Amino acid sequence: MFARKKGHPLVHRVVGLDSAGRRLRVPPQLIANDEVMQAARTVYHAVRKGRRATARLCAETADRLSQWDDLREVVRLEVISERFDAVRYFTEDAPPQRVWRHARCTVPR
Amino acid sequence: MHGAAMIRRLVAGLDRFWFEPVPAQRLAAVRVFVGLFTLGFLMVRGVNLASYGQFSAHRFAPVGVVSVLDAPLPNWSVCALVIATVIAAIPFTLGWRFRVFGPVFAVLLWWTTTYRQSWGMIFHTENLMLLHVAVLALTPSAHAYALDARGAQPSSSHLRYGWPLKLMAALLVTSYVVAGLAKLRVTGWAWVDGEVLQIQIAYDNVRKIELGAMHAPLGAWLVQFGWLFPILATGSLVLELGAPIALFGRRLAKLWCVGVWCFHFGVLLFMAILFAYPLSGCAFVVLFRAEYAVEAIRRWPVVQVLGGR
Repeated sequence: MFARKKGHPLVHRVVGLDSAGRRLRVPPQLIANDEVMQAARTVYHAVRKGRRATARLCAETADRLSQWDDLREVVRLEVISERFDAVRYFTEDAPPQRVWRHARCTVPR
Repeated sequence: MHGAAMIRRLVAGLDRFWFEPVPAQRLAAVRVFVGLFTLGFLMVRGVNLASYGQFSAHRFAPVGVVSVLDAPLPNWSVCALVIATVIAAIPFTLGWRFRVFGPVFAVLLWWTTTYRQSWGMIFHTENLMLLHVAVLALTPSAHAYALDARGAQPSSSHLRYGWPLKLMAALLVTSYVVAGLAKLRVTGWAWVDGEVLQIQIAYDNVRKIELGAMHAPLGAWLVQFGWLFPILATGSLVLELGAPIALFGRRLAKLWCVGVWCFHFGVLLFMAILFAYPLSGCAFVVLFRAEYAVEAIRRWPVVQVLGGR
């Protein structure tokens, strides 16, 4: 359990953006199922496979979101990876050190 | 000659250890506890297990026994298999038509849990439970505390009830030793300086916060205290690599189980990760006289009333 190399690992996720550009969390059910780690792993595999896979994931998630009653304010989705200094995140409230945007898509309404 | 005698004595000792005669009730009690836990697990996670039927086919990454499939199963068959697994857990736990339902349940559980793991995420928490169910399903664990055993004379001690328990105990300790060796393989002895564990706990909580999952506020708060992590890292490694001591007597087993239970409780408090099988105690019953617990439960007034005694 928990065998991992040193360093600052990445957090891969799909985020929603409203018309003002504010970020909103996308529920894991829209990406995979109610298991948050399954959703995170789904994003991770898409990122590893490359641009086409992240674009597909983005479009699939946007499609599901368009049929969702909540989060009506989300107009766009992004598949991103963020590198955090995880310890400084808690001790100094540090923001991500670096952000990668892999895919961007519009939510069909 | 001296060497040959030593080997003979070693083999004889190993033989006595592995093929120790124990009462049928002990193995059967373990079946009851493991069966109840697995039934509870399936009832709680059933909806999640069935949800994999709705995943997009392009995400299918089969592992283990599911590798026989080229494409995912239709949604209805995933749901049907999950329901069948839940239903089969009942005769397994009750010891009813065990020769049929024991292996059927083990195969269904093997399939269902592996199917869940065939979408890119490996859930390590289920592996030991599945291995224990497999051993119980293929051994005479329904010769007592079972509907099949109603009216039969209680079986006397026999080695056929002993070796399955030794095997389950060996699987238990091996799972921890493997976890310890994985730490050493990935990080080397640098693991004990605690930095990797500190980052792991911090990262796990960052990830959960950013993904919107439940995180562990205590773990998030503790990451500022760097001095704590060499102690926790060393402790976890000692418990994992030292797991085989649990095979050498009940006193050592008790000591190790308390340590490992605290370790899992710490994981729950610091990372919000629930290892339900060991935390429930069901993973450890193989190391003890489990039949004493069943007999104590049978003496409860409510159980006696329900049992018509």
